[in-house]
Amino acid sequence: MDLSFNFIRNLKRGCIAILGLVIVQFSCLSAAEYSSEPIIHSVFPLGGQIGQTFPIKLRGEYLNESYDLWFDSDFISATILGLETDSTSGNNKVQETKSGINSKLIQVLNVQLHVLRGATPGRHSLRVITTRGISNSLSFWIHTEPSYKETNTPHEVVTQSEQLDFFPIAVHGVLANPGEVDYYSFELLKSEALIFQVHSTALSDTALSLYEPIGSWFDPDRSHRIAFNDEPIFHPDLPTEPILEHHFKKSGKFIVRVSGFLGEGGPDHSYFLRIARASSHKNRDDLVPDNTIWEERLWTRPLQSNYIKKLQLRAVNLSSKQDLSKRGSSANIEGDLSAKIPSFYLRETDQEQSVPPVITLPVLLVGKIDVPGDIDQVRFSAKVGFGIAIEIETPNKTVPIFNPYIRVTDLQGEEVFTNVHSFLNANTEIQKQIKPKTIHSFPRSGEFTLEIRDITAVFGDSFMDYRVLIREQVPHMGKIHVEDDYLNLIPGRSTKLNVITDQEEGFSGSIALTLEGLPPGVRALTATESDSDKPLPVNDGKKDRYLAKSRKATFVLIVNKDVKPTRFPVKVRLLAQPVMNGRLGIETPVKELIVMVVASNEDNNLGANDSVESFR
Amino acid sequence: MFSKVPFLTITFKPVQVGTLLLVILVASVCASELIVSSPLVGPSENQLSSLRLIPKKVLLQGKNASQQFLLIGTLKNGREKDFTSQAKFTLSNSMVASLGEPQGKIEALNDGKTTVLAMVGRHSAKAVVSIKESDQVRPFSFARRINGIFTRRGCNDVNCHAGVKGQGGFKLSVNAAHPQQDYDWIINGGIYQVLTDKPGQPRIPRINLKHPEQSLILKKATLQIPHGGGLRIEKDSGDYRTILEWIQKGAHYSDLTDGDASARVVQLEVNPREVLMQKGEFQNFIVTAQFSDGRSEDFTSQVRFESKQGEVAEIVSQGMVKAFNPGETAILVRGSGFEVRSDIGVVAEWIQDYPEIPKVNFIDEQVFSKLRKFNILPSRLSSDTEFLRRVCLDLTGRLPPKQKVREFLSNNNPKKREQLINILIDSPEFVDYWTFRFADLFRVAVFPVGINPKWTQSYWEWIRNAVAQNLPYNQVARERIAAQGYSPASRHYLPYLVIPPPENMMGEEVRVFFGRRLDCAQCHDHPYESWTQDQFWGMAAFFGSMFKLGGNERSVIFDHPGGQEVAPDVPSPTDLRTLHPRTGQEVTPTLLNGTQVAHTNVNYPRGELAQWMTAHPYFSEAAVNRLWSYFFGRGIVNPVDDFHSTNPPTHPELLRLLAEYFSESGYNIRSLFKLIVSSRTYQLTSASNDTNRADLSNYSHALSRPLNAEILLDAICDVTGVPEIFDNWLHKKKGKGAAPKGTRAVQLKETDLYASTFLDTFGRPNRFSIPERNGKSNLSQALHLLVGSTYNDKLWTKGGHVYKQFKGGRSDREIIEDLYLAAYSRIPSAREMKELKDLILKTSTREQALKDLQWSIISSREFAENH
Repeated sequence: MDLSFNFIRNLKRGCIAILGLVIVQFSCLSAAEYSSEPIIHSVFPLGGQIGQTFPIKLRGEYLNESYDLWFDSDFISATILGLETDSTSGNNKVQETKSGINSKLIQVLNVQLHVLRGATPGRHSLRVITTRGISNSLSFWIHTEPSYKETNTPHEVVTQSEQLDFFPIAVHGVLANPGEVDYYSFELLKSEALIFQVHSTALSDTALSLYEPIGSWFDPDRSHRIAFNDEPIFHPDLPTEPILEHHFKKSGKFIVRVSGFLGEGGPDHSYFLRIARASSHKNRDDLVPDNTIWEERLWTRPLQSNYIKKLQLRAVNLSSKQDLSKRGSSANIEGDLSAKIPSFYLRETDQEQSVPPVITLPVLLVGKIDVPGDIDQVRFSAKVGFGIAIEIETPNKTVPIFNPYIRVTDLQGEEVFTNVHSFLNANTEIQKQIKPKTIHSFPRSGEFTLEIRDITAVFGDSFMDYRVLIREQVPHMGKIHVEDDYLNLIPGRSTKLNVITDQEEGFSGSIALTLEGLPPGVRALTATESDSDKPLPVNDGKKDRYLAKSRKATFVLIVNKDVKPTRFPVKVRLLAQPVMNGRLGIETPVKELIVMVVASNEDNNLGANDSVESFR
Repeated sequence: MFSKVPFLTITFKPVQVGTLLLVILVASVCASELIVSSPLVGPSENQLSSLRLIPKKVLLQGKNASQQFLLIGTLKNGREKDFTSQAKFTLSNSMVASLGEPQGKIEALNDGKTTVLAMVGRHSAKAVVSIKESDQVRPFSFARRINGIFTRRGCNDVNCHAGVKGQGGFKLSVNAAHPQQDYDWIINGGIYQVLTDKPGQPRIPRINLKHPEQSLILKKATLQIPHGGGLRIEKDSGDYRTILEWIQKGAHYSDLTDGDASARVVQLEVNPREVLMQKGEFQNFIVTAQFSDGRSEDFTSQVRFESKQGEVAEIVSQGMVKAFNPGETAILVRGSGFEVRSDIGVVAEWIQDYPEIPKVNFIDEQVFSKLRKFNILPSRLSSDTEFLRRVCLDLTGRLPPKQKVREFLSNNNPKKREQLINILIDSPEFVDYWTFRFADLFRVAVFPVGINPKWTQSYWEWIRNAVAQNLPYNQVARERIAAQGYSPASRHYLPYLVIPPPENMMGEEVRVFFGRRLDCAQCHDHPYESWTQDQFWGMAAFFGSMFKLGGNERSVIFDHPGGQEVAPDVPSPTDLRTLHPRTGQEVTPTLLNGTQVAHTNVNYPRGELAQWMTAHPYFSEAAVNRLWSYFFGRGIVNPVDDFHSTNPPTHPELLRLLAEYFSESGYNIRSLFKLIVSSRTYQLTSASNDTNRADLSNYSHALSRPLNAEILLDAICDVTGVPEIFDNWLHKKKGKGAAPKGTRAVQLKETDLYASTFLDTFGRPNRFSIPERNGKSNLSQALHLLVGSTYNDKLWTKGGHVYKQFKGGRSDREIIEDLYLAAYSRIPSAREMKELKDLILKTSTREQALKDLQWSIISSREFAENH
């Protein structure tokens, strides 16, 4: 049958892909093995209550000579208590390599943490500072709920579940072994709704289940599963950690289970389970990406009524006589941010008319696909050459649950453009992707109809809200991507920093980049480098309509030989400034990098694959 | 009568028993008594009660018209028997008709009327024959005259010239289904081609108008030149002369002005449709054709008869069958594109005073009624231990706990079986087990579902929710057939990140929910069934506008709105439309009944298809047939997903009633299960009696079924008390994964991620295609039984039941009894207990003996089967 043939063909592709992944993973592992920078794998507990002092354990490598922790909050401080080798881990090993002894010694750093009352609840970033430099970052949650740490008593089966006595509560535990699950029980005195939420390390993918321990004919200890949530849906814009809200219809004893997806487990699989009454829970505000100003292709970015003005801040105003080259000179434009884009609410009654309502641009359409098969329509006029930009926000449910499909047709019903990007992939298979932003230039004047629907015919609900911004294009500087968020610099050596800049809506100027706040003796030079040859795409389709143009810039950070190591990291700011036709736009901060200068390589046992390069 | 069934054979593993050699324990539990002990007697003419002629009234039209009569006698015991060959036939008016050959045939002579009298002893029957237009030669029709010969001679059999591409460059339609096409192939020659409607070359006419005797069609059939099909027509036969005469006269298609439209056969009927015979008896059949102009005509000599089980009954001459051996068969009658059948049951001897069997519901009425007709006695009701073990395994996939066995056996409540059924159906174990069953059928696994464990889990959870909530099965089917978006059921349509070809998807949905296999009609009209290639592609087109939106992580299934491709900005290397492979034309979604379904902007045909399919009678009958098979080891139509005319239901009325019940219950699976397991038919013992020993299809006794791999593994874990550890082989940087401790094999969500030699050896399917577990034993299983870890490593583990009992100082008697209760759901007989205790004493160490005992029990058939 074709089925089996196709399967084998695709299995081969899958195998090749898996093989590729294995190779990539192997090479990454190799690099990590040779690295001597401090690495932290996990922290337990994964968070703590505001106003409390409590011990935490950090598991990682190269943690010798750790002397402090770094947080993105001034209200959290740490005292290093000591370092020990993780005797429980089977991963400890010492490898001999060509470059010498390479250690993969798992260490545990014991720290006393102080969370002051001014700390903000939510996710924070934690790093370890050592003489070898600063480590990677781990998430650490600061919460207001009282903490509960799992005990050492086994609670892998329902009958051994640990009793929780109060809500709200923040339970901290570890899925310490493959296949391990943790059961916690609680009593409800009345029918009520609770919300359960699990945070875990990036390593883990946890799932939540609720049970009622009422036994069965076969097994008196058997419990009935009454709810489950693994957040199986991949949301690029939203957290995928499981949240389970359940209305318990009766009082009694219930059990919540935390498990790993596919049963992963190990000493680094720590988690943090929050249980609260649904009515009082503040939900997931602390998890939604807060800085979306640079995001133009997230379905959840807020299309506020001053959105156009915000874009203009990243553009070059060619008609303005004002010199915007100096920082802070955007004040006038900031003042303009109050200018509102008119909103147009699409009501179903309007849609029942034979002719769709007419709108004028710019406009922010607000509506919802509330029933399956619902199609909302508006009409607008455009002149020849008019460059239109259409941006879609789905504030509640988003792709892949709600897949807004926008189609613009002329009066004859001919399709002019859509927000679906069609292209051929490397396997010469046709691919279609729905996009939150589309630009188009009209080749002729006329009246056009814009329709919004879900691309399927079967979904529609009150949560399928959309906001569609229709406006004239604003050529501007787009998102600036920087791979690294921390650097450990070594005197006498250079380190590379790649920056990718997006150019939006036909922006054809330059983007000037500056690094500000470098430690003394460190210079940032711009550099060129050869890109490796990439295979030419088979057919990108109308890529320019849906994607920004990207350009790569490279900094080389050079540290003088005589620079003394820094004891604490410094914050280095990356600034970007659009330039066009000799005119400057506003210089805007893009990202903060955590930078340290550390002792020379001999002391640090650098490996061959380290990213640090020698220079003469 | 007392029947002992020595099937509970326990064998101590030779390599372990040391001095203990092979020991056979004969269980007494299955020793059974027949319900009744009856003398078996055969029928005789003396028992004849009445006679009747078939047909009772007939009109013969045209020159040489004839009618074959069938004389059926009803015996005093109610049974019917063919007396055609034994009767004396006379006519009241020999001027208008005459008696012909074979016996019972009447031939028209002149217009008028006559009465046919048939006599057997003192009994007689009459029929009236009217004759008109006796001097008028019937208009010639190729379809009837020439194709009739091809049919009778087997030329247009699917294994001969009605194969897909014909045979030897000559193509005919199956059973003369398309006479005009047959005529063209004969006149013009050429070869059928699958991917185009143009005939292949060379085109060699099968007739020779200048020299008719040299026509290929005659020379081949008479073997004047080599012919792969051998001699089909004798040169001096009437059929030879008919064909020769036709060619000599110009080989035209029809004398009728409308071609043969008015003479087209619209229906074939065979009589009798169901026959019960005794070994050695003969039975005549008559076949009547209904024509498009309203006429009917004796077609017995124009069709081909074929027996499905020749060893039971075989065709001995045109229209006559002889019964050879007890059993069942069907006589297939083919002609003019139709196929009808008559069911035959052959018994060895007759039971006098067949007893009244108690019935619980309509299942029993239907099953016992057929058993009675076929002279088979059902076995007795199962014992409590047998019922308990069987119903627990069938409803929950688990053995009953030993304490529950004791409770059940000591419970004297007459309603205890009913109460147990209710408990089991409402248990969480029921949800586990039926989730597993449907996950099997719906092919839930990582590699068949997009190589994405997240998808697999969500698809599995969707099934589990449906089972736990007892959602109507038609709703579940609709959700799957019409699945769009990122819904869990839609993951089924992404077997490997790419949407499969529409014909594959359609084929699977029809097979799962209609129980039919249309696949053969993909390249050509179905060779055995009436499905055409056009119907196949019309159905496939429902799936033709499906597309995948987005990347590999969040692939969304949608159907191009309005049937128009979304954003056709890039020319696709493959056509996104569904094209008919022969005509190359785009195919419109068309239901099997010919209704075309148009795309609209907001509705998609697949949604309509889901509604139509789940409302169609096929849906309900296919569903109940499949679900029935889980309790009886076979479907009423078997295989369960191969409904077709030559694979009829063993109990058509039962199937209809079950389907009706299911539909009226709102497609309530639990309700259907309760109905089934409450029936006496389900609760019969597996011990057979003299009359039903050979019966494998009439549910006269329960058939032992091997436990599926997952159930067997779970059972071994339960009996030994040592759970299985399921390691997840999908290593990630985050570490090795494993299923939570205590996870049972039936609870695995993504079964293919858990490597298990045991499960694979014992038949766990990979779910790349619709699983078909055949349950057959193989050498690997035998080896695993001897040296495999599952059978050996669990015998003496710290947490194991026997180990703990051994350490706890339990006696041999207690340990043996516990093991029997846990494994067999019964208490060992006194003889078994004595022999086992003796064996333990004779073994070098008690530890070794207890290991051997466990091994013997979990290796026994009684343990490994559901009976």
